[in-house]
Amino acid sequence: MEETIYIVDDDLSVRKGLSRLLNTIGFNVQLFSSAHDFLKHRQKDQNGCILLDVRMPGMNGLDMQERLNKSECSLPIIFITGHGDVPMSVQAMKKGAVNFLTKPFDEQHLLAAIKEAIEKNRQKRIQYGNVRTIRNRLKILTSREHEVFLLVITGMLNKQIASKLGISEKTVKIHRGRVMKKMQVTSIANLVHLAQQANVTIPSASI
Amino acid sequence: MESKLHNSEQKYRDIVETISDWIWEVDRNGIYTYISPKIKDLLGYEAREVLGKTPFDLMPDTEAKRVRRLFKAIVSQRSPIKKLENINQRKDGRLVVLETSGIPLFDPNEQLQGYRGVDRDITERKRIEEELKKSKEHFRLIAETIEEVFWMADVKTQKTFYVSPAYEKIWGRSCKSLYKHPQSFIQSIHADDRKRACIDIAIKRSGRPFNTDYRIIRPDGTVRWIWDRGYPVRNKAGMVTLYVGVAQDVTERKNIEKELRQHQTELAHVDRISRMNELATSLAHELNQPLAGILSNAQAAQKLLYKKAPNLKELQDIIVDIIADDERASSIITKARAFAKRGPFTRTSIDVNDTIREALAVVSSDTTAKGMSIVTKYSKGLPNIVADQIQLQQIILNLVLNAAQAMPPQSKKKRKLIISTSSGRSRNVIISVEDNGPGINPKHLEIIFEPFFTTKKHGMGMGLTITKSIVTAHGGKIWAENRPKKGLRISFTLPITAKYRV
Repeated sequence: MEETIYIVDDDLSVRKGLSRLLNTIGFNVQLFSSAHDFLKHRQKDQNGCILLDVRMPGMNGLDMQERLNKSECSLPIIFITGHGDVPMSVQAMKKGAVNFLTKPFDEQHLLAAIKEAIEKNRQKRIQYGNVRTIRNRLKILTSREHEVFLLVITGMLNKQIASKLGISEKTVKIHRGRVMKKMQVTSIANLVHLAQQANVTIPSASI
Repeated sequence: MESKLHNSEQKYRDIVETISDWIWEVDRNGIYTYISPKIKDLLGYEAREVLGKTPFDLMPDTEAKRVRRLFKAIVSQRSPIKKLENINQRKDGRLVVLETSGIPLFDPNEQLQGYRGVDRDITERKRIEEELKKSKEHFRLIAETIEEVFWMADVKTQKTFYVSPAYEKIWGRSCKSLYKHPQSFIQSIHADDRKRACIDIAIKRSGRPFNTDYRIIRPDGTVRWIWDRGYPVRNKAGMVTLYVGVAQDVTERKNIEKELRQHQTELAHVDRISRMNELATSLAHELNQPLAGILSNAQAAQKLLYKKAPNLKELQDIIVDIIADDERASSIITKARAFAKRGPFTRTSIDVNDTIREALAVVSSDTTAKGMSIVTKYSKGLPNIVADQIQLQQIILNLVLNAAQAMPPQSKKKRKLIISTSSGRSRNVIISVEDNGPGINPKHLEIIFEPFFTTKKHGMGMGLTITKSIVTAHGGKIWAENRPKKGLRISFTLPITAKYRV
């Protein structure tokens, strides 16, 4: 397994116990005694998930979650806390946490949560990977092709595009064919889907 | 012969005129026939002014009447006049007391001719006598009517030679029995207090005042609390010869005190329980940490044991960690239970710094969660104090939690609490808790310790009141002040030795 479990907890014995358990199961484990410590050492596109304590001196777990969300981190978070109340767990889950485990937690619950988190991480990485692929394809479009692309996904017909751009319908057809080829799609529906995935802002259709 | 007689007469005249007493002669009817010049000193008259008069002419009317009757009786019995006290009016109107003595004079036929005698001014002596009598009477009145036992003891014999009648009422034993059996006093003291009281009272030998309290058991078996104080009395040479003192029945006061202490203990307990509820989250958190460690370690061990060649060294490490975590968990529970326990008010010799450290351990995870840092400035070499440890921890806890609530959590400024200890000037220890919050309205500085005063939305306003009651019960003082650079400082003192006396 190439996944790493990042444990962020200020309590040494919790860190030690968890790392032993996860090591025995076969996970790579990295330990951090504070949120700052983790943020300082993290790298992009990691495989695995974070086991994050809520109550810590300095930056607490919920604040760290917010920081990671802002920076498009693919590592899902499993909160572990000595004592959690409902509002706290609701807030954490709303902000995308995979689970909220109350210490002491059973190995099976932990493993189930880790499994879910790793799956989520994988999907996220695929998603992030797809987006990167789409963005790379978009980069090789010429500026005219890009113009045509934007108008096509708003649902305009070739004739309308031709009159809008002041070029012939035949030229629009050629550009359109190149866009479909470069974006590696065979239908307009697929093209629209890619645009959505890559978060392309669609200009409002003005005829 | 004649000159011899003359010499002798001159001698007597000299004596008569130089001695301070006034010499006189009267006839049978009491009419002065001779008066020595000293009368001038005693009554202000010249001798010639009084010759031919009677002593009764020199007295106020009622006194004249009384003395005339006495004189008549003396004359009829032809007896001498022996130290007859009588009041005379001087020429200037002042009254003086004279003491008259005289012997009867007879003619050759044994007929009473008159008297010859002396008058002495005893006004001053009478005044002193009167005053002495009065002050004796006053003393008697005071000693016999006050509810306190007034006593006097001889230093040399260590025996009580006077004890006022209140002794009989309070001790239930007669004063006479005490004079007769001085040991009965020691025997009356409660066995638990006897040694201490005897040590305190034995100071009598040192010549310093003493102040002690003890219980006595009366013959009917009832117990009374006595507050006994003795003071040395020195003779002119500066030697302490006797001790006087007052022993007071303070049973009621002691009972009220005990009741107050009971109430205070109960109040403090309720306060602690409510504080515990506030801290429940922290405690659960605190406790769940080692439990989490134990569970993870145990499950890791389980996994290791299933392996073909279990790593024994690692298993050993795991067990060491499990034991350490278990000890940590139980020490948290012990601390919490000790804190929540409703025990009697017990004073022991305690280390102030250690006690504060333990209190902060209970509250640390809560303050951490609230993003508050605590700085401690412990004074080194602080003497131990005699106090109830749990109640001292409660004071610290109350002040820390109060400060935590006083400092707004949203403020950008880092919330910081400084706890310091130091030696006070009057055999006490000063403990201060200061925050960097907004401080309080100076008008409120005096009243924050009053019941039901609160600035919190959901506060009861009892925390600081209870804190003050604990400090006061220990014989200390508590006060609040705004710090120059914003923030509130609450300080309190605790005496090094407990004031257990009323």
